[in-house]
Amino acid sequence: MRGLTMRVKMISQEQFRKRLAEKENHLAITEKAQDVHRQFLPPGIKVVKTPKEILFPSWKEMYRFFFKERSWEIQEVEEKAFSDPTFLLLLPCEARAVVEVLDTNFLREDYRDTDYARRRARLNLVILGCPAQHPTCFCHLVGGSPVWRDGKSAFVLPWKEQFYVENDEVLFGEGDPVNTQEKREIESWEKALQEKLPPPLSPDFPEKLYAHFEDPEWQDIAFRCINCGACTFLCPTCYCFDLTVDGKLRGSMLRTWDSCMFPKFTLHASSHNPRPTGKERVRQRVMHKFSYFPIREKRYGCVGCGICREICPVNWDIKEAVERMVKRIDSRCDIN
Amino acid sequence: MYEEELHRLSVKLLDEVEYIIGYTSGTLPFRSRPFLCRKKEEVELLTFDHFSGSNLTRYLLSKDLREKKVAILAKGCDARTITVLLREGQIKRENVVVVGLPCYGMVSLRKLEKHFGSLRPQDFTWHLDTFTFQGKTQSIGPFLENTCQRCLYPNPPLFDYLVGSRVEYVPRERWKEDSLKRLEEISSEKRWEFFAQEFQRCIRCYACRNACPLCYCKECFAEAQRPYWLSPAATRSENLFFHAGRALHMAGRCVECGACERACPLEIPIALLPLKVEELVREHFTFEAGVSPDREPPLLTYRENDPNEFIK
Repeated sequence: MRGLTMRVKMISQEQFRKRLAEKENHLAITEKAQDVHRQFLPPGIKVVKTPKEILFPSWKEMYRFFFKERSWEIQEVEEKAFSDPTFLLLLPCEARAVVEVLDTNFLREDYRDTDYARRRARLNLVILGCPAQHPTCFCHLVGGSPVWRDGKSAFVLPWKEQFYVENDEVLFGEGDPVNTQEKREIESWEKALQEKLPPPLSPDFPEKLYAHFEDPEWQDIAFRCINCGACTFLCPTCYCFDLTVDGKLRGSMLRTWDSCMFPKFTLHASSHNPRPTGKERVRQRVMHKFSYFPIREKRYGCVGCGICREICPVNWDIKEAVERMVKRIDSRCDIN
Repeated sequence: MYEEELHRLSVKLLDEVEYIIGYTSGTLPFRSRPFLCRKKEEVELLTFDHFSGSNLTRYLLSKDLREKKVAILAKGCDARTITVLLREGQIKRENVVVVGLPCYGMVSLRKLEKHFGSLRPQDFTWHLDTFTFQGKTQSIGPFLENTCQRCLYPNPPLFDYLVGSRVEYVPRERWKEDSLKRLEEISSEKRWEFFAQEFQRCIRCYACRNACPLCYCKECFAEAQRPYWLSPAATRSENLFFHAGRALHMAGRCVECGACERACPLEIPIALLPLKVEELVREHFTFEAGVSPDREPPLLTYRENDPNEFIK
């Protein structure tokens, strides 16, 4: 039987809080997860805005260079002793962003990002089930759910004054076994929860959206966007970056976050810009997450966490944009 | 506020202009959003409430609207922005119809959330400068945006039509809160600590810059490669340089609307620097941006007989 059953246990709320407090120096929690589970958490856990803050920081030196005796010398950047947390408590949507999108992009077979790989290998995800849906989230639309987990990472669910824990060995310690009765109850609760969720986008949406590239609707969808990078920088799945040579005779090669919302993102050296206005840039953001990436990788590039909707200075809303395109697609199938 | 009057006027205006740039209710509670009204059938969608904070004048500079005749809703600060944009030759007066909106200040969703916890829109009833929550009516003062708490121009100094009735003079002391004054009272070491900590959090998404209608440079110094002013790495010193640089570029131009601060996704009090710069401009040149269209902006004017030596 060994290896066939999933490692599950029940722990008390007290144990949950105590163990987290003990491991405080090795822990971080995302802001969203903190909002949902505040009542169970000990004070003082490091808070990060998104998992990207640890796995793919906003800037990094790739290497240093200097000019010496008529030639260029390249220097590796010494890795500081890692002080980043080894456990990250996060919500199912954010975990999906890591497992399904960031990992897919940075840990490809043909190209493996060494920095990301090293950080990812050190980080254990602890997925906290998310019973309360916030008005900004829409994980159901992109195939997620408030109890999504990858089956490998630890998963924790508040359950009747206790916590139901899957796949954890070190963080929470020993727990009580989960009896068949409880197991059945949790399963049927989860099933009922899944059934209550509104339906996801239709499986052919990415292909259909692709065909609507030239739809005039994009002009109006893009109107209010002011083309700042708040949404993309705080998006847990957005992974675009830029390289900058910082310094002349000595300096470093910098890798920094970049955003498809910025005009310079696609500006060519010839001064031609294939995405000259907000319309093209907004379309790119929606298309990449809901058409190009899904067609290529068979999964959405958006996890429906809703952080972009929450922080947008002008209430530009990606869910609304997608719903508008769904309507367009439904109303006239033959755009071409 | 004033919706009926606004709708009536808008129907009339659409005979004269192509678009009305206004607000409509957002997709989330407590949010109003910029809205481009094109047809008379859409007029009913126009709203104005305590969450209509966006400075719409930004859209006057967009490629699509620049050469068109448009009407725009303008609060006091927005009307001041229009005056500055006219003065700087960015827009043509004959292309813009200004619909003035007397304003009691915009309410900060973050302050509301901090005080009341999770919010349900149906629990709140909004009046002009008060609101009712669970049967208790209270002043909006403590919940106003930081910049609104300091506002000196609740009535637009420039307009073609005025909707609603003028706001009586609002003394600053009324709200008993002034983020800038609080900061001026502490020691410079403490102040440095404060700014260092705040700007360290900046991720340089440029939401502040893009929300600002007066940050219209084609190429921002922060992103320029030649010359290369600052590194794109979001470190404390580079961030501080960006925000200080922006504040100085705004000297004598900033209309204190607070768009930058409201736009910040990390809630960094960005407006403090430009606000302080404007206090200095007020003190040294008795000048306020966008208030009197005929006065020359002191920091944008060259004179051969300037009394200061360094300028020659």
